[in-house]
Amino acid sequence: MNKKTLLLIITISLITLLGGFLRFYKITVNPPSLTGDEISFGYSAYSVLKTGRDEYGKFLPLVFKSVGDYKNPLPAYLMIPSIKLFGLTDFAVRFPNALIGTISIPVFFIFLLDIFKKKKVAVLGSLMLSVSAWHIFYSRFAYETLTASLFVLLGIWFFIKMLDGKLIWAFLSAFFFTLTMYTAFAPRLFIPIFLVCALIINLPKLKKDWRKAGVFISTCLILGLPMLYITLFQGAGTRLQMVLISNDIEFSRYVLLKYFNSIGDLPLLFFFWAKRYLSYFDPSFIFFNGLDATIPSSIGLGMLYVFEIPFFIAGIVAFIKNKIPHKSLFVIWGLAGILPDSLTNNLKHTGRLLHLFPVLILLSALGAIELYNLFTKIGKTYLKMIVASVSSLIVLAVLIHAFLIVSTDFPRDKGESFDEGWREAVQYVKANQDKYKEIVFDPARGVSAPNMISNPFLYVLFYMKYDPHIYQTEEKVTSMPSYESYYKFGKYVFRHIDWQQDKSEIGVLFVGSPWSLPEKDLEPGELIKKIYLTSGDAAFFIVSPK
Amino acid sequence: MFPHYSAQNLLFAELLHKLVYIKDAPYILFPLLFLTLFWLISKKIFKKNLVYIPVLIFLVSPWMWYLAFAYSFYIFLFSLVLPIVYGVILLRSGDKAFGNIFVVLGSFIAMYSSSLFFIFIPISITIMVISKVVSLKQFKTSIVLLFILVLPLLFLIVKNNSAFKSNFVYEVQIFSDPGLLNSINRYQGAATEAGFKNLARISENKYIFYAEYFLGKYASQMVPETLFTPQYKLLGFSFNPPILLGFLIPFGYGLYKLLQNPKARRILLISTLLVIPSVLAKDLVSLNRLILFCPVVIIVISYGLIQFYENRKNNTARIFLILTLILVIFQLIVVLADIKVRETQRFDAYFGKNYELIEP
Repeated sequence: MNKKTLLLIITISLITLLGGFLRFYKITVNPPSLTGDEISFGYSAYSVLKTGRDEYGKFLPLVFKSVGDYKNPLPAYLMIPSIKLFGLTDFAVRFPNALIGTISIPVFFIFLLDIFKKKKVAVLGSLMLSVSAWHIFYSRFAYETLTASLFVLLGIWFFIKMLDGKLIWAFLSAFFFTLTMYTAFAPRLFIPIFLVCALIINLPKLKKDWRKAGVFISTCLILGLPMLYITLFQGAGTRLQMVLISNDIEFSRYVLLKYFNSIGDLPLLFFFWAKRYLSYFDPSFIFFNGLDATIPSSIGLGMLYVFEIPFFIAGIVAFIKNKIPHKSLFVIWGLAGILPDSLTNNLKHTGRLLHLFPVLILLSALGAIELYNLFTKIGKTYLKMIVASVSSLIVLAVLIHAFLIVSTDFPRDKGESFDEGWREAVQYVKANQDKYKEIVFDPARGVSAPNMISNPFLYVLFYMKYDPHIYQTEEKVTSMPSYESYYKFGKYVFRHIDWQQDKSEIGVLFVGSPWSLPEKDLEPGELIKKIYLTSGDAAFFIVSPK
Repeated sequence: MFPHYSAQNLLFAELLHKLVYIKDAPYILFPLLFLTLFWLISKKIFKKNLVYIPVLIFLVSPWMWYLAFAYSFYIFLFSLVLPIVYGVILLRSGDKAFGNIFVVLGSFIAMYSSSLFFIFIPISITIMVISKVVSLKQFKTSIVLLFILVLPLLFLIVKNNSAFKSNFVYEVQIFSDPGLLNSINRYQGAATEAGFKNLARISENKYIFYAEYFLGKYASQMVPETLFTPQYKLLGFSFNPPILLGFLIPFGYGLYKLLQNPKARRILLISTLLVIPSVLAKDLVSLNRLILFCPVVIIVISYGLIQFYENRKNNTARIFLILTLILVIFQLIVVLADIKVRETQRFDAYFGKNYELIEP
């Protein structure tokens, strides 16, 4: 090993360590609480680990029914070793994603080095990924699209290698592409579109050796068949139907002026979709507040840092004017990558665009190198000093702002979105439940309004480490007259709390937001504990009638 | 069609304490004027037999029509910016006499009409000279003439400073939104509470935030969603785009080709000055003001379209050309049908059925 190679290995190791530190440091307290999805994946994984079945008793499922949203299987299965190792804890749930986020850094480095054969691009690209607020943010909680983004990267990388290399790459590429489909919803539409375009463009190369195309397509089909089956017959397609763009409120209310119901409405739907698709190129979304980590419409964090704007623009120019290997594949990657999210009626979401990180960061790295080359051409030393100092100050200021957002503003502004408070509430109940004959949880919560946003029974299962054997087999009550939603297992009941009626229930412990347990209506001594959000607002009151 | 804009008093009238609104102008004639000027500009840029392309693109773009029918003040200013652009092109090509006439006439009226343009035009001329788009020698006569013609206005401004200020504040509202300052206070408060007061003072102060906000606004003016989709609604309610979506394909290709040429890159960069009036508006993007940038976009589209046409023997170029034409014709039909069927209802949905034009 020569000196240069050793230096390169040390550099990339340090970059990976930095990335790992930024992804793992205080991972259980920031984000402030496990989300509903994390809890669901965590308990499903725990249930499979202990019994081989999910909480509904289904043996090694290929789709997790969860709370009716039919979750992808891989995130839960990836959590199993972690839960085996660390127990059913917040850390165990978040560990796999943080690890995958960290591993993505050296993988991205090797990918860039392999494709571009330029150390500068590879080192700078991996450094930018290592400190990317976008990538760090989604690495710090169990977010399946981040895992999928690594598989997409590997799939495309091996696809490129397949074009000029051995047959094994065809199998590996197909394997990772298919794995992506079992991991997250967003890439399910992206992968087929990417593959169709990529195969057509590279048809002349593939014609030389049809075996590659054969192995690739047959592997995709064989591994993808179960996914096709569960999508069509086991409810995994339900989610897609729910979120289609034709159900968008803005479209029906302000564009079509009625609900979408006929083929004649398609032209306007097409142009509405085009508007949504192009809105992903909005600089505010990319650079200023796409991450939605703090209050809306303020200067927060985007997919790239603000100081990357000149890099990004220069990167696009460099991408256009320079010879880039497999340029067309990168273009398809970038343009088709937006498609899945643009076809939904949800708000634009940077999380569902994570499979685009290699393209965006590559453009930024190319631009940075281009600008650095311009910088080196500055003849006068004092001018060089001024440019270097001003640039460094801007980068520093932006990074400090990012640090402040992630460490202080995000937990304060988004605690409620992360279901903050349930952990503390359930842990209190766990320590004191023997004193009560029944424990009632109100699923409605919220600071500004009581919204039905939580799945408290999953928090109870998770933090109580409820035995999956018992949960799968015991009798559960799923409805009750006079309650709109009702669920009961063991001594735990999940229903709306009406304090005027419930205050006579002696020996019952109630956990609810101040909306259902107004402090002014409580008698002295009834309020046992208050649980607060990081913002200081009350999340839950724990109350027992006297 | 939907005349709901309250008119804006002209600068010189404001300084004289009079009321002169451009809304009384024969607005229907503006499109004809634009098309003529656009044809003249195109003649200088493109080959003779292809001059009709930019004019045609301009003709089928809803942007101009909507603003002209709504008596937008910026349509009037647009009719002055086009002669200036044409004049600059003439000066570059050596036609001093007509070049100076167009530049001086356009600039003179624009500066007397708007406080923003009173500042914007001298700055633009300076930048054009510094960046060598036009040499100082070529611009000399225009600058001298303009200076003489603007002297009375300068005198009026000095005499009636407060009227100028009020007109200027009306036109430059970029930092008038208290939301940005509130968010700075909020960020600083949270950081101080967490013990990071000094860090917040370095990175979350109004200078940095204003600079970032300005940068973000500047970039937002030129992205495809702004120019080719109804992301920012024409007249505040329409679903029709400023420029038809199909033209995005030749725009992308034209831009791709132009960016490869260093000289074209420089001119494109300078031409982004035309987005500044929109950047200085209160809204993130003001389509009323951004119309000034419309000629640049149409020229890029035309360049891309001409490239497709000239390379039509190449399969890819032919496919793109056909795709563009299909999309444009299809959207044109949709737009015309939509105007007839839904636009009035949309107007009512946004502004209410009993909306009345408030005369100033």
